[in-house]
Amino acid sequence: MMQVTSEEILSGKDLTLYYRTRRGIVKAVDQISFKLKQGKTLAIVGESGSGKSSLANAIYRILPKNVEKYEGEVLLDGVDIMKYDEEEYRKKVRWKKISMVFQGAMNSLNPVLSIGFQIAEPLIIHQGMQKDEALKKAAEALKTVGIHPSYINRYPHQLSGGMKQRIVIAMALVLTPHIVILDEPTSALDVITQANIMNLLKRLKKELKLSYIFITHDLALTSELADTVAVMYAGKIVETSSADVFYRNPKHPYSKGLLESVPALKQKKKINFIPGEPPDLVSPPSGCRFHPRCPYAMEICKKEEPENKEIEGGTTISCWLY
Amino acid sequence: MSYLVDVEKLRTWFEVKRGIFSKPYYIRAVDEVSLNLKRGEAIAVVGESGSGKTSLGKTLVRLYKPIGGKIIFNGKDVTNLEGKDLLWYRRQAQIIYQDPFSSLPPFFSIFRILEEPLLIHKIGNERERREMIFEALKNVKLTPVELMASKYPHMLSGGQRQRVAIARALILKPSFIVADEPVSMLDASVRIEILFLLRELQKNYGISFIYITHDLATTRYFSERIAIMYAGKVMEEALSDEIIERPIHPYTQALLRAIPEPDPENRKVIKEIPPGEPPDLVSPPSGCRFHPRCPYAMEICKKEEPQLREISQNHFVACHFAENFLKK
Ligand SMILES: Nc1ncnc2c1ncn2[C@@H]1O[C@H](COP(=O)(O)OP(=O)(O)OP(=O)(O)O)[C@@H](O)[C@H]1O
Ligand SMILES: Nc1ncnc2c1ncn2[C@@H]1O[C@H](COP(=O)(O)OP(=O)(O)O)[C@@H](O)[C@H]1O
Ligand code: SF4
Ligand code: SF4
Ligand SMILES: [Mg+2]
Ligand SMILES: [Mg+2]
Repeated sequence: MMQVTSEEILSGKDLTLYYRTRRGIVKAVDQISFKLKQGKTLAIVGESGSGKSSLANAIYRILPKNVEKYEGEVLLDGVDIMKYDEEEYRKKVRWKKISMVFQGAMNSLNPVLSIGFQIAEPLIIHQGMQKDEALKKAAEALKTVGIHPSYINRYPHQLSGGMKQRIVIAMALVLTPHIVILDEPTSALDVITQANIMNLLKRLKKELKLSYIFITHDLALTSELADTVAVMYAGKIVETSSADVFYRNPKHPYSKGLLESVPALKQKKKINFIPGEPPDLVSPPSGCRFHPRCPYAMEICKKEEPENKEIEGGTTISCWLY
Repeated sequence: MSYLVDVEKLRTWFEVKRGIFSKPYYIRAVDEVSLNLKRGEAIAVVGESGSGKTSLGKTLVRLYKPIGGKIIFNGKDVTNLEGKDLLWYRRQAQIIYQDPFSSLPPFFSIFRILEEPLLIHKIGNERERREMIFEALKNVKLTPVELMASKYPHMLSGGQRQRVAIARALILKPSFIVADEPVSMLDASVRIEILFLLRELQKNYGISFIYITHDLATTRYFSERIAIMYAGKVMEEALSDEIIERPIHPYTQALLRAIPEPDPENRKVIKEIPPGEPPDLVSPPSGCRFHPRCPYAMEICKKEEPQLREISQNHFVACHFAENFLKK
């Protein structure tokens, strides 16, 4: 049993999501465990295809039709919400307790609907709110993200990329959730706009006492929000460390390799790369999934999968070196 | 000094027609850009999305024809070349594109993809072409070469496809290569490896190289000089270390501040960042194009356009008040 402490607002245990495809079964989320503390940010980092968005979708229960397996435990305030049926999940959890900013959402705003209506629509449809009240909520949400409420009548094409991203964040905040899942919230934006959005997210976290799950492939950007960093590789979390430990003294060989490949601007550090490429999730390598690329791989790594274990400094790791 | 590539006040504008009767308007993607490049030198062109980088790159290799300015290549004016002369230039100047998924024709084998430029330029007989293709594959470390040559693009990973694109650019032994965001679509752990490879080949063959990117953090490792573009213009240009350690232009300074470094202290601070976003290039701001966002803007900035000028040795800046920022 995982220990539940009062400050733990969300946690997952053995969360699993497999997809069925013509090529075989894609093990996108494979028995993942995580903990999110109240008012903190848990960052999920990993390369493209490592399963980050799938993990988010598993938590938020937005699933495609071709699900092969979906199981595990997700505790929200100590209650296992995996046991909820869809109706219960929608009424009690989605938007009210947990909301999500989807990857690429700013590019899928509906071009023919006004901003205000798009923010208000889910409130009317899913929460049964009156139109007037929903629009009022929408205007408030806009103000929260630094956009003048008069923008409620505008259309997406009249807005810049940074503003669209603010709108998408406003949508997630409209029912004052406690937890917001941010899936690559700035990846389509340029650096200065990205920095402005990160400032906004920091401010909102403090003012609204939010807890974030922050998903990104960018390790430098991760450090702008993360209190804890969880590193995903091929459908698994291989290391979870506090940000201080992760950036100063990463433990897992994959974490080390990733950090070494991040160019530093202001210091002249040496950069390096991890040879090879991430595996296919239909037939991941046996044993430790990182073994074909790992400079420390031993015989056992090819055969047996390392268990998750807690080591000093509160780090959880799966690697035979520890 | 003699440059391999010398670009003067280059202008690439795109005409957009709204209707038959209304007047067309122009997107000023590249507006009076001057740059030069020595033999074997690498320069990075850094800018945000839409700042005109791709348009500049395509104009430099003459996939676009500029509406003004000059491109001098090896002492020869190539600005308006056509027909056979243009074909000659296109053999000397190659471009590598951002997207390794769409830049390779899907129904060609890798062998055929690499043979194509040789056929277009009527180079070698069958046996010689075969040797050149295998040599190129070896250069970009796609081995075993016979096996790789027989594959099709969809059988390769993103990193491998970009290696093919690099091999295709190198096979004509060009003296000038433009790489337009060559790694931005690749996995983080693969990017650095491809950049190392490009740098190695560029140095080995003494190629003059323009590395276009929005990622300032990588430039220091892969280029001698950096040019910072904003809204179709070069705002600052200097040696790579100089730009990063002593940025002068307010835009460059903001950019440097905005770029995150991997440091767990970051989460505790709010950064000072100029508001707003880059202008559209149909009607860019008057005077200095950065003035609506610049914390130091004065009256003159709205009226007069600052020219790119040498502020300290080999450090060029387009700002009316560059000297003030130099002292700090
Ligand atoms: N609906 C689906 N059906 C089948 N396979 C899927 C589906 N969605 C995702 N996958 C596969 O699952 C794996 C994980 O994908 P996911 O989108 O979760 O990765 P990610 O880490 O978010 O990547 P990115 O950084 O590119 O967003 C990939 O191999 C992907 O191709
Ligand atoms: N072929 C084209 N026709 C019309 N407009 C274009 C064309 N190519 C680019 N543009 C416009 O020119 C500007 C600069 O674009 P681009 O050179 O692609 O910038 P970057 O590569 O820095 O993102 C943008 O406003 C873009 O929409
Ligand atoms: S378990 Fe073995 S292969 Fe995997 S990361 Fe650790 S040392 Fe490397
Ligand atoms: S010219 Fe004026 S507006 Fe432009 S960067 Fe310099 S101070 Fe700022
Ligand atoms: Mg994703
Ligand atoms: Mg471009």
